[in-house]
Amino acid sequence: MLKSVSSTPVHDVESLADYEHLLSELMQLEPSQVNQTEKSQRLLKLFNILHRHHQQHCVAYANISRANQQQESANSVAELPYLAVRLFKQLELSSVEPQDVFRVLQSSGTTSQTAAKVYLDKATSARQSKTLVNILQRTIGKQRLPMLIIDAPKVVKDPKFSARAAGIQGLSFFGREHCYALDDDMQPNWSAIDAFAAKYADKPVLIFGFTFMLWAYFIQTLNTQGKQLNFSQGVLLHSGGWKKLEAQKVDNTTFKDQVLTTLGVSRVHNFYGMAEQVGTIFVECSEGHLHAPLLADVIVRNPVDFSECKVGEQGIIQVLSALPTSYPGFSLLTEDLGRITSIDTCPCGQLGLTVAIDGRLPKTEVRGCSDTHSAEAQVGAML
Amino acid sequence: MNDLKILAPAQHGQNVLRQAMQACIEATPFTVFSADVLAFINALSKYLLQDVSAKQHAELVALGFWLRTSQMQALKNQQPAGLNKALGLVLHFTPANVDSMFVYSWVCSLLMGNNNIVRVASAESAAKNILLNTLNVLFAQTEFRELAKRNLFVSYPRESSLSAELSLHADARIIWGGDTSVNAIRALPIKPRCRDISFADRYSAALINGDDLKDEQQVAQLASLFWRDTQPHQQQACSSPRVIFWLGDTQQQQALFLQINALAAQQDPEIQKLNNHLAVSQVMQSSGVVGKPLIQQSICVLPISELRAEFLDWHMGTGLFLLMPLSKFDDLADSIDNKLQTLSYWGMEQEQLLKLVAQPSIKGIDRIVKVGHALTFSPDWDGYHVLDELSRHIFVG
Repeated sequence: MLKSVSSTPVHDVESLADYEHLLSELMQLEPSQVNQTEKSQRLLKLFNILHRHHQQHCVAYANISRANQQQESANSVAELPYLAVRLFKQLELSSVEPQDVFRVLQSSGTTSQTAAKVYLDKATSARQSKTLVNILQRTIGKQRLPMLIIDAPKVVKDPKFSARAAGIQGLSFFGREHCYALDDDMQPNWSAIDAFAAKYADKPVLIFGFTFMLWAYFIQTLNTQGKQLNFSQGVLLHSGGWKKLEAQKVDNTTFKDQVLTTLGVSRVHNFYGMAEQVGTIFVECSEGHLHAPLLADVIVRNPVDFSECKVGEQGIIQVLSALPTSYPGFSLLTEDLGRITSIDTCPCGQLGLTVAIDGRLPKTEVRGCSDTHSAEAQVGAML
Repeated sequence: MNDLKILAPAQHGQNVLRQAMQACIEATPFTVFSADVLAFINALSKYLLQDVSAKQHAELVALGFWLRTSQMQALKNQQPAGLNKALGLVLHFTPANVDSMFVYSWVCSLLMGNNNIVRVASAESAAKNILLNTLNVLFAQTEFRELAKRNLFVSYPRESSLSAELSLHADARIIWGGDTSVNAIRALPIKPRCRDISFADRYSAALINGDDLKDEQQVAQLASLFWRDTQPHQQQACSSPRVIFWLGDTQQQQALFLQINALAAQQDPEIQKLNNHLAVSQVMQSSGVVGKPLIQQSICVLPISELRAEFLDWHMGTGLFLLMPLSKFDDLADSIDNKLQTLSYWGMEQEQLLKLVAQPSIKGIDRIVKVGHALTFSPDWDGYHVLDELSRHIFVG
């Protein structure tokens, strides 16, 4: 493990105090109050502090900064340095002393995959949970709702599925009276579903599933079995990526239509995020757009020269999150392709920017290197 | 057996797979450099040099050239006098990264008369498919029927028990792959006298003497030769240079990299390339001994002050070079480990290099060639004389 620098300069303590202050100021605002320009200005101050903080506390980060002769502070969010997200799989990047590591988040649960390792201390972890609650409550409300989980109960018991289990457990916190809709063979468990429906049909419920499994093992099966449910007051959250659905030519509109037909749910929200930036998830609004949350920003970069793309142009997604102080992951170049779809103009009323995620960068095949990364595992680790 | 596929010669029906394999194991081998084999190699060479789809792949054209009758005749003439015989059955495990490589080691084995079962890596590639189609066309011809019987190209999943089963029949195994896969194959039991030829993880370097790089013309010439060693297989062949040792004058250095970059830019841009270069650069820079890229466009050149083994594990090919300056030639010795396979050179005396490699403390370097020839196959490979390894020499006292 790369050790953090032991001597803490005095001005860094001051910087982190500034950081906490600026962060809490921003957290008290509503997404409908802060436009993109103001948001970026506020975030830039936080990001500049984080950049200096990680230079002082993470040797690897400091070495990368020094090698690239990076400036002490940037004048715009786009000027900030960024790390390739893959580094978290190859290096152990921590900005805290080993005894202060509270939890090491692993983005993947199986041995054949190279897992990203994310070092969390108590402060970062608390910030992440608080932010996640804050963001999700805007969509599902403050009440804990009866929850239907579109997965098999064995998932949370089997250590092999630990990352998927982490996703389910992360979201379970937002519900009560959890009911697993699938049996251990991934078939609808009708006795459980019927009991849940008898109690909660037409009442507010929370439904969660991984995008592809929800589609393949639930919506499709209900369709072929000619069954329908009626959760007209329900809210459905799903995540995990569209790649497998795209292959079946299923887009978001088709997906939502089918969810409405089979489950009776009209409030359907996809979300996007990653293990390396837990907390700042992007949730789909009522208008169908993924919103960058208050504490996160996005730059889309041209894959060929990393220049900033214009609104609407496809490129590589760079995500910036104001949350991590225990690991140098506040500015990351992902391997996702996407676009900024609007700035301050989404009819849902939230200001800031919205994005569309179009897919992933193709993998370069390398001998002896297995680097596949299941989408479900990612969701598990981001919650 | 359900997971076994015979890719060449084309088989009809699952039920004959086991028989085809048994027949290949049991068939009496050919004599060394037999007329049948030479006729087949000649036909293969002609096909690759004339086929429209094969011509689009530089590595297949190079293979076609290497297979010409004159080359094979030259190899025959270099054979030690006396009686040489085939070993019997040679089992080949081919690399995933260099899709035409399996043909070279297979042809070496074929020349020595052996029967062969070649496990082709599962990764799909256009060049590999062209090669297998070509083999199938030739194997279907009546005059190559006996040869087709003795040579099987198969594919099966890594976790299959077939590798273990076949290993028990092998008289030699040629094992290409990463260290882990090579060791996994080598752990499978074999006959007591079975020979293993392992082509494991290696990397290569170029040594450039800047004092011998004076004008634009030389820069252009070196750039073109260097790119010839780098471009095929996306720099993932172990003989393609990944490290550049730079000696002497650096005045033309930037001009050289710009030229190589211009050559690389002529290829179709790969959307993930720059991101790969960024990720590899940053992971290396985290060590503190790697500086800012001198160029990061179509190629990426990273200055390093120390060459560490993990840098080569992180390297992914696709036009990334580690530039290591040498203040004097003798310093090269400090940067050579046993994984260094090919040293290609520019502006150096061959004797000087030989003198260095002759030092007992130097564990690496199996090939010393001029820049531009790093990928040229010869049966002297990775320190083995492959033809000798794949045959028996009969001593007559």
